[in-house]
Amino acid sequence: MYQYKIPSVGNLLADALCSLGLFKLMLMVDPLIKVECNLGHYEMLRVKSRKEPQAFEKEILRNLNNLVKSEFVRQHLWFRVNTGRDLKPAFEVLSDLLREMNCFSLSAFEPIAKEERKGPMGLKTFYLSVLPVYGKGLEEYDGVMAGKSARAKPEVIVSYMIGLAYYTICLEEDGSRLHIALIPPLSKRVDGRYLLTINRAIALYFTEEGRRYISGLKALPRLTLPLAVLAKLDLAIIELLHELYPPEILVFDVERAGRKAAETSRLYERYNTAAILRFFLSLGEWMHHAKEYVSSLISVRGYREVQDTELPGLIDSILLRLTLAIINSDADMLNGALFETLRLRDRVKEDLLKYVNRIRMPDSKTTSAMVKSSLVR
Amino acid sequence: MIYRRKFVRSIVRRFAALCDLEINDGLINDLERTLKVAIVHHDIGKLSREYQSGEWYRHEIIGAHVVYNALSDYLTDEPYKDLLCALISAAVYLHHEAIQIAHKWFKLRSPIFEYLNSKIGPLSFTFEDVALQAFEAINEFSGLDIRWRLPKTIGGKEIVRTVSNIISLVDGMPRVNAARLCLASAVLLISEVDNRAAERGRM
Repeated sequence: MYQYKIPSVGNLLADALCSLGLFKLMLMVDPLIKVECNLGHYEMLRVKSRKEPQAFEKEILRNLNNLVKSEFVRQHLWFRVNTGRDLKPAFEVLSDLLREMNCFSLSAFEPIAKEERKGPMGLKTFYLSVLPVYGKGLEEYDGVMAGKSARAKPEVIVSYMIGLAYYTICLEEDGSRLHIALIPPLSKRVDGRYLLTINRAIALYFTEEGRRYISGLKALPRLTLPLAVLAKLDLAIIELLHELYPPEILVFDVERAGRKAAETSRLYERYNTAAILRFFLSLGEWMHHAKEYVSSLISVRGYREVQDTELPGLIDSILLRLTLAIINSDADMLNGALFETLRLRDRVKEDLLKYVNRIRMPDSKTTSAMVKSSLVR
Repeated sequence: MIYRRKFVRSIVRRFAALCDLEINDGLINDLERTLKVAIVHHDIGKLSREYQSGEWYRHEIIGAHVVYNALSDYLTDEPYKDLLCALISAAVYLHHEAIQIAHKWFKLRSPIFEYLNSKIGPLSFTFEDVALQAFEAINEFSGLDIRWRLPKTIGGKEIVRTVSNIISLVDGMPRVNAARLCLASAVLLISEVDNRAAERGRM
């Protein structure tokens, strides 16, 4: 067995997506790799494989070249990247990078630098439309954006972009592109099984039904995103993630319209999922009904017909109450949220009633289980 | 012999393609041992008190749990051990899928897992002494040196956890089509054995 140690690239977002992207690439070459991922550690990824280094790297590059031509990558890296000279789709930026690569070196992983364009040889620009928070994690923040850019070895950028395609849910909101990623918790050592579970969780959003569900997440109050994202996962994933370590949800946006590309204009938030996972699991046999209730709220707020009506706002307020009730173990607030859901029929206009009726109200047993579960700390 | 010629060869070939392995005697031997465990224990869930009394019919989910645990103990520490255990246990879990499709019990298919787990989570399954003895006797008769013992009670949550592991490993595979082919070959073998056993039982 050969051991490969991949060091951190000095930025949590990039570390998370590079690790996940690289894991994907390595797994394609050798399905029997043993992996340990530890975000926040100097060595973010440790991999043991039967493949010797040269053959391993060669196979990774071959698989990358196949992946980049796939419809999946083209669909998920559709957004345009501002390269400073022109606007190119992200998959083309990835193809350009690959075209220049003769080999894929696993020893190329090193911290992302902030350099002038004529900086050290072999570094490529990590465009702001791809990695939006590049200033964070660097020792010095230059305050202005002019001149210097984030620069990294092509291997780092390529792995990050594969992670971005395969491990994030992308929402397009007014002028901004929001990405949601489920990542392993900081400074906890997780294995390949954990990364496969995350892969499975995100893959649920790549189905036709998943894509419809994503449209309901648009412009959702961000505090409620963990509840909305986890409500769609099946019990197997929830059980396994809770048993190992609750993952974190990273939310970051890119290309916010009307703002300059400065650090402070960018959204970059991390949410813990422990409280929500615990809530769902303590529901026992009623979990399915509670998840149906939450996901039906999300689905209804995503219907094109209800946009520009009072319904999405009312649902947002219910979801906010639900989330706060779960996070703060507040049974009164949970009761309030359930009561508000019942009252929706009285509060909307008649033509919206058919949509309100699609919300799957929990029955009395599920309701009492939810209230009981909200008291579990 | 027939089952070796008809099924094992293709399963070995497909598993080797899935894991990028060379076919050698060690791999063939491991797969034969694994399939033997799956064949003799795929219906072990039928020995539970809940199945016998008609409270619970989905014995294959209990069988998948038992086979997964038995295999985890039985197989040597080869790099493909986890995946092999998961694939063969998944085949046990799915060995009645054809019947479900034929009867249009689509609720029991996907999202079968969610539905089943919400049903199975709060339950527990008990094996009487005679069932425990039968498990040991089957092992002895089949020449299987399995140290793992069938417990008197299996909780629904334990089963959920096992099935979670199985699904994560199989579903997360990057070579999806190769994994599906391999799983389908194993399901075919277990279904065939199950049908023959049922025919004999009816005679």
